Amino acid sequence: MKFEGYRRKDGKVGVRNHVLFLSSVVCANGIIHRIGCEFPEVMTIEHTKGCVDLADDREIVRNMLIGLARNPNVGAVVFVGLGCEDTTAEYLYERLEGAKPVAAVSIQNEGGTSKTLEKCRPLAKKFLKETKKQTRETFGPDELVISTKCGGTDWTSAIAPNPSVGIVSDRVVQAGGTSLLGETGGWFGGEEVLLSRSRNEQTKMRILRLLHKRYDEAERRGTKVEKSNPSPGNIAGGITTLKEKALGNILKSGESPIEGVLGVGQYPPGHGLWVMDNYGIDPASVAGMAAAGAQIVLFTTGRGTPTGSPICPVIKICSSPMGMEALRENIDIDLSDIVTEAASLGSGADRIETFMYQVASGKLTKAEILGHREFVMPGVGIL
Amino acid sequence: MPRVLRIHPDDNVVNVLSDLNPDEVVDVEGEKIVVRSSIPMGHKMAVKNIHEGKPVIKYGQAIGYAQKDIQIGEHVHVHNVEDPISNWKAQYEILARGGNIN
Repeated sequence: MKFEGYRRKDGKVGVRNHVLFLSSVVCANGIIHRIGCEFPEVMTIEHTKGCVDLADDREIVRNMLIGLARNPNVGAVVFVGLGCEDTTAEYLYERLEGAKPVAAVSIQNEGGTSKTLEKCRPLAKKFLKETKKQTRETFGPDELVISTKCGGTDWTSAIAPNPSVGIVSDRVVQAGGTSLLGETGGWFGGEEVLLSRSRNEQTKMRILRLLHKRYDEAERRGTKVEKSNPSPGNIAGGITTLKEKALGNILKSGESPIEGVLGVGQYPPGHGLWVMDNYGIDPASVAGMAAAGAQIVLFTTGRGTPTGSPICPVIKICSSPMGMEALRENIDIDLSDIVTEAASLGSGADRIETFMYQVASGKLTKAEILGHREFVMPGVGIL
Repeated sequence: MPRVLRIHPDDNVVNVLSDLNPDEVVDVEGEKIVVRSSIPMGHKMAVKNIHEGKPVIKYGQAIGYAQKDIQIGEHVHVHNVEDPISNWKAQYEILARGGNIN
């Protein structure tokens, strides 16, 4: 299958052509918010970090901001900072220069809110005009980077949408494309399956280290990961243990071998299936996928959830009859016939794949139509 | 439509596909099982007796351990299953010692 995407200066291919205004630090959120109100077509990301973070969190924030701006769905980016922060707009600008049209604005340099807005408005207009001129070109699956995600999981997730998405992930990989598995905290109990599919010992080691890091952090805080996961909704939906949830969760990655492990904001250095150091709560997880270069997120759900992204189209796939009844408005692909009429997983995969290529060529997802652009900056302490 | 779903032949629990009530009789692949508790749709029912401390098997793997004796036909959930992840760290250390993981 083919899709119509946008070629970037750095060679990457996007499925959207967003103009992104990105806070380098929490102090710039007011400006970013105003630009978002004045220019609804502009994607904006506000967050609560960027200064006086501990070193490990600072590294996550920097890698996230650079990774988000690099995402090929972003046609042009404007960093807005304060000026005295840890991670300045200029610092980020230098790391993006040449990859795509980019600008940096600092409130202290401009001399206050009004002057900063006066600087930002023409940039928004100029970049919107420029990105609209660009046309889509045809690309094959080797230019596709998808990420697989589940949220609002219930008993149906492991039976229908997760294995169907796993088939799609395998097809993308076999066609020369790239697939990313996130939600590291959701692997506990399923790690042996991931280890058995790892290409090499280094990958196994890194998978275990990621789990160990999270487990240790929880213990250091006097708690255990299994006290936060599964969630109350998972339990009401029939999931009993984190291991049960994990075994269902990792079905989304299909059966392909795992090429390696990506750090936060790290782009896959080659094709195939990669697993990520990715933080749990849904918008933080999707944000991490966007910051690793995912163009599209395949998001399975049982109970239903509205989560979208300012950068990636998020395709919602549900096979719970109850979830469909409750959140039909938010679901792109209804696979409940796999549960109620024993339709095949292959037929589920076919439907997901067809829709995914349409979305890659510009078809809007429910989350995009409904205006869901949630964002959470990941950090240490988010499982 | 079947009323239960067994995912792997080794499993000692099945997912129930509609709400079940005590004393109902359900057919699990030819075997008649008397339901012993109320079980909501999607939750798990024991299709074998599971003794205290023994694994609860789904997907062919131990997803947890029985906290007390569980009888065939009983609801299997957080009230009678211990999460095996509590032993995860020990498992990590064994894997770390056994492989080239340092």
